Amino acid sequence: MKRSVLLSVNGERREVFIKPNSTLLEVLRDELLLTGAKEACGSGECGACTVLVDGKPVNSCITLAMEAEGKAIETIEGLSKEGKLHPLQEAFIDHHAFQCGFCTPGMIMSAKAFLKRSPEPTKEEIRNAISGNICRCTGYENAVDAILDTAVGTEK
Amino acid sequence: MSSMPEFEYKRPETLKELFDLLPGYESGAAILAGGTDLMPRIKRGLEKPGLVVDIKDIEGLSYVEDKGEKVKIGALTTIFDIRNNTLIKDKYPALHEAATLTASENIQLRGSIGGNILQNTRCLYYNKSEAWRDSFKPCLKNGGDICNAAKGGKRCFSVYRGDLAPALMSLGASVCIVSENGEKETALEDIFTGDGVTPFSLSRDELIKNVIIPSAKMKGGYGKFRMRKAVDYPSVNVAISMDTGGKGRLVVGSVGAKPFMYEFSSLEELKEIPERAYKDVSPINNMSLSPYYRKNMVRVLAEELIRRV
Ligand SMILES: Cc1cc2nc3c(=O)[nH]c(=O)nc-3n(C[C@H](O)[C@H](O)[C@H](O)COP(=O)(O)OP(=O)(O)OC[C@H]3O[C@@H](n4cnc5c(N)ncnc54)[C@H](O)[C@@H]3O)c2cc1C
Ligand code: FES
Ligand code: FES
Repeated sequence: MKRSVLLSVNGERREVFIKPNSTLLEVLRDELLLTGAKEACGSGECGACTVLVDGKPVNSCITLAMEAEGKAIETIEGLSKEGKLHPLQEAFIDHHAFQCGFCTPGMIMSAKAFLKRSPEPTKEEIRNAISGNICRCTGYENAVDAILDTAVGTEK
Repeated sequence: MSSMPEFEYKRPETLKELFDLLPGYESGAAILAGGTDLMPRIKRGLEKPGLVVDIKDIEGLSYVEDKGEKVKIGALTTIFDIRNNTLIKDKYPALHEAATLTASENIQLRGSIGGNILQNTRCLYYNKSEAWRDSFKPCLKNGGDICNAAKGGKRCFSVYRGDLAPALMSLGASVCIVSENGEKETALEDIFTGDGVTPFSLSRDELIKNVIIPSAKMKGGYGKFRMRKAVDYPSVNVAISMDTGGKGRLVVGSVGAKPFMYEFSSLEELKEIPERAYKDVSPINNMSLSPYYRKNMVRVLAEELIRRV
């Protein structure tokens, strides 16, 4: 049975009418039209659907929307402020860290959560942090460099 | 991936509320922790609970506590927190290494120790979409009476591929199981049935509350053989833990529905185990790697780990 659920997405309160078996990814994409998070594997393996719930990365394809009720959900759409890109987004552009871009929203959200818990990371730590985000085009080196540059604040 | 069957969702805040919910639902209730094992199973139609009970809001299930004689780890403690816990790193190297090598960092941040222990067994012919499975007759684990992996097989050979349980078993861990009727402590190895269809002896209205490890500084380590360096289940895994007197356990995982456990009381005895384990295990053709290769890797991995620790 559908029910009303209040979600906090990128700082805004949004009411949705959903069934308990709706995944967070379905609700973000189909109900709220936030199509930044992508669906690829649908089973937790690729990270394309990564969003943050209370600051922690989750694979939204295997998370129920109702699990996120009452928590702060952050998606790639929430990163830019007043038309200005987030430093991670700038760094990904500067480093040519994507080609098709399908993995990018997930990778950037993982990176954002990671830099919060490890502000001064090594390359190896960055590789570990994005190990759940699979990229089929660019490879990982440019993304690792972009995240490292964001951490040391030299992305410009 | 196909969309999910319908179910109700509840998020109790106390154990009492949980136990009020668990019985009663006709098609069964499923406990949801991080969901990284359960949700893919539900999406594939391998599990059809009438009710999903999310335990993440129940207070006091996430901790690592030194209780003198014992170290207790709450069931909701994440793999990430286990990996970064200094007490565990210092006392239980096998567990620290196993947590570090589990899945990916994001799944470590989400997955709990309770869910990791109770993750279901896996098989190349079973962990597939419903459409894929429909091209075969239902197997033993899927309500049928045949095995699609071992033709003519009369039992289920699905494989337990958890990373933490072998490490915990090597440390002599037990689990505290709670239900409406109270608490009991059971050796971790005793919750495994060895049967691929129903790999655990826990019933659906029982909860693992915490994991208990005898408090001692152990030597040891963990070896994981997998096809990819990240986001991959073990194809063979070996854990060793021993006390200062050289007594301990070696545990081999991913070769059957439960881990194989060997006890030793000297280095000489330990050194004989890889050959014994090689003879004992008989993997079948139900993973990407051939049974022959995996059987050989049991000995290789165990010998390598013994040299290292
Ligand atoms: C891409 C991917 C890669 C993975 N790689 C690995 C890997 O390398 N190694 C590995 O070991 N695992 C791996 N896993 C499996 C899984 O992520 C982990 O086992 C994880 O620790 C499960 O924990 P969870 O909290 O998410 O469990 P859940 O999915 O919430 O639960 C798993 C099972 O345990 C039951 N359960 C959970 N907690 C309790 C409790 N306290 N009491 C009673 N029952 C309970 C649930 O009902 C369910 O049946 C992987 C999963 C994915 C999606
Ligand atoms: S789509 Fe969610 S992990 Fe791949
Ligand atoms: S840029 Fe195409 S998948 Fe990563």
